[in-house]
Amino acid sequence: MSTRVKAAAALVVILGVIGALIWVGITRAASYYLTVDEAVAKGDGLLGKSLKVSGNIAPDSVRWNPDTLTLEFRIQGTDPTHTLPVVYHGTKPSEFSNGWPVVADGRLERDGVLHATQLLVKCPSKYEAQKPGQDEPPAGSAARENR
Amino acid sequence: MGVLGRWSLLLSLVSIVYMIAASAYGARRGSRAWIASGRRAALATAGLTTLASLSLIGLLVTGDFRYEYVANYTSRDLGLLYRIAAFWGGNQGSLLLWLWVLTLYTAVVTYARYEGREQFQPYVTATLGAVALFFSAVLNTVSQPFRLLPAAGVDGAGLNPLLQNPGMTIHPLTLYLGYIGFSIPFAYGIAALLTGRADAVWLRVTRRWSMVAWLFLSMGILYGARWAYEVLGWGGYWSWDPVENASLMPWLTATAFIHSSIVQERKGTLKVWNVALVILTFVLTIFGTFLTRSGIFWSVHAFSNGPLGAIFLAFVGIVLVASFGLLAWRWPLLKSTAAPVAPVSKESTFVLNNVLFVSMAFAVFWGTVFPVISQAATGRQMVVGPPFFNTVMAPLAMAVVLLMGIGTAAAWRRSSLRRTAAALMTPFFLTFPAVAVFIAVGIRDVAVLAALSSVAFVLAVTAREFWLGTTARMRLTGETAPVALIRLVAQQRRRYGGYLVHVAVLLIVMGIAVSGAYGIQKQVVMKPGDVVSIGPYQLVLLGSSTREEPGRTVVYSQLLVQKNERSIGILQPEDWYFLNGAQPAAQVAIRSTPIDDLYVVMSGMDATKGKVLFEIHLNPMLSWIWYGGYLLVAGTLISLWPSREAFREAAAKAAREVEVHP
Repeated sequence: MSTRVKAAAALVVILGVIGALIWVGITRAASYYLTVDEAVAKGDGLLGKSLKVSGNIAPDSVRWNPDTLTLEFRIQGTDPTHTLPVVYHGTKPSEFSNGWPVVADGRLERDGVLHATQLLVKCPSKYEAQKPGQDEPPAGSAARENR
Repeated sequence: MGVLGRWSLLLSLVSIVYMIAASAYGARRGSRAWIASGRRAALATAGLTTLASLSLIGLLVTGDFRYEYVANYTSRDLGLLYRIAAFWGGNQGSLLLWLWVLTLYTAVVTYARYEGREQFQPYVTATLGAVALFFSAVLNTVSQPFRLLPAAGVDGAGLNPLLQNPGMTIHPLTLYLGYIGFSIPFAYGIAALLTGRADAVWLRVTRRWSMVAWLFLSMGILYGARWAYEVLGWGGYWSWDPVENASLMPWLTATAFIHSSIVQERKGTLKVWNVALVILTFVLTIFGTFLTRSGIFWSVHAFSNGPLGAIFLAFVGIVLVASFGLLAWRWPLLKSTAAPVAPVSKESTFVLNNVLFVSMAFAVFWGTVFPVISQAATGRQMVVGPPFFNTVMAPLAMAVVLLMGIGTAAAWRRSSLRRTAAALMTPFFLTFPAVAVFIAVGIRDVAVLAALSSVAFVLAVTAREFWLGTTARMRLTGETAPVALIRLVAQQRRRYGGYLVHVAVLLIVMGIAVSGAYGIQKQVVMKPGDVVSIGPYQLVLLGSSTREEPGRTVVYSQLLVQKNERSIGILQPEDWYFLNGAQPAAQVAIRSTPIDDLYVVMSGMDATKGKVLFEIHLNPMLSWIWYGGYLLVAGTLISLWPSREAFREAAAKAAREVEVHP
């Protein structure tokens, strides 16, 4: 075997290992990214799965207990009857208000509640200044993460 | 002032087109007059974009609220520094900054003197002109910085509070200087393909510029991490956000190029690969700009939606097709004639280094665009978060660290396993006491132990290089050890500067590994007088209060920090509530030492019950990332600093040219 062939074989092995690493990483860490409407349509099929669900904070659904650091709320789809209960343990994001877009990242447990480990609240972009008197964040604006 | 800016920007379009046309025509026809005319156009373009940029800065500083950009990003109560920073705080302004820096670079490169300049310069100028044309066209059409408001505003919306931080004025600037800097290696790569001369001259110039851009990009990434850590208040510095990834990808490919170019310099191989890396790095910088402006990814950095995303993606596509098409066309000319790389040699470790760095760039790319790809492939959008990046990047990064040690010890050309192993023997045995120390201080996590022992091993290998060089010098010259060490580094700046950068990377790796594995966090509700323990520290809440400042109400708490029952300081986290209704911003309080960072955020307050909510992080050795950052800058500067001979040569050449053209 010439050196060239050996080198090529070594390269293939190395790339194979790295490729496998990426593949395994993706399959293990990937989660579904859905809107509330899609999640509700899927129903029980999603129980036990890792999900990232986007929607709006349903009006008057936010319950915050500062003593146990528990945040409970529902996210609502474009169809307001589509809602999903979410529970999150941690500090409440400072800009957590009715109707704001939110992405909840976590696992949909058997009880049908999304146990979120991370909340992303879309809020007025850090670059696009908020216009005075504007409540609704502009579309495509930035998210602030809370871990 | 705005009229001046608008016209300068419009005229820049004309002068860029002329610059491209004159340079290209001059190069084709071999006409010195046309080439010289193209050079003057490059200078004129730089002048025009400078006028446009200065007039936008002027509008921002004087607060001319007739202009949309001024009204969107500044306000009357904003300080001078942040009014200037607003220049790159918004979409249009940041694109104008891009064009400005690019045309300034172009003027510098066009007039720079180096051997072999005649062949390259017109092609380089024309290529950079083509890139500038894109930005100028965008700025004159879809993204105009000098647009007037229908009715003049009285006051502006103000710069986002999170951007009002001294680090934030520097972070985007250094990042842009880095991003834009990679246009120059790209232009030289294209020039090399067009002239068919991807040889030593090309390499020397390209490598220097790549290192300058790499330095700025590294600084930009580190500043960004530090800003995220100190301002965003979630206790970390890197979240694998698409835009962070966008800055990491070109950094990885540029790092690969900086190493593989040494192989071409020494052995004349890897020509095609090096040109490809340079093109790839440039494309990734434009891709990064696309990510920030497309709005298809959620990101802390995203600019608003608009047609810009599609325009940038189209530009990425055009550049990719055109440059790799050119590369394919020139392939036969570049095919290396030198012998293949020996299996055990410094060269082969460099090749492996490139495989690893490009794989890392690919992993980051794949994870970043995975939502889009999975959507297209399966109709269902899948996302990956930090766990994916951490599991893939950690082993690859560790392989890079180990390779750093082996590559440093391996000899050029044909080496043998035995000789390389002999060189690694002492460092290998020195690693054992280091591991014993790590275990003694309580590190039990296998992955962290593996990372730290690799770091210790490579530190020993690098120290051995300094040791061997210094002792050899002492024997030859009879100098004392410190003098010999300093002269050694001073005389072989590129090599030993590079080793210092390696040490810097090792410090950063240690900081990332230890803080990542042993960081702890707590969320607590406290009343005045309550005590909370975290690690070796006790925090006592002394009390909370408010104060009024221009434009905001500040709520703050004071916590007494104790260690071993001794008071060692007071931390004061704050929450800023803005009167204009902008989202409140938490001001993190950090007590940073080389051993650990105590990091306190006030995340809420129940005024009626007098309770305050805190998020407390203890991040061991996190500050090593920043120390490593400083060393990285110093090492790169040492490496880049021109030698005395280069100065003398340049001066002599300049003198000769003056004699020829009086």
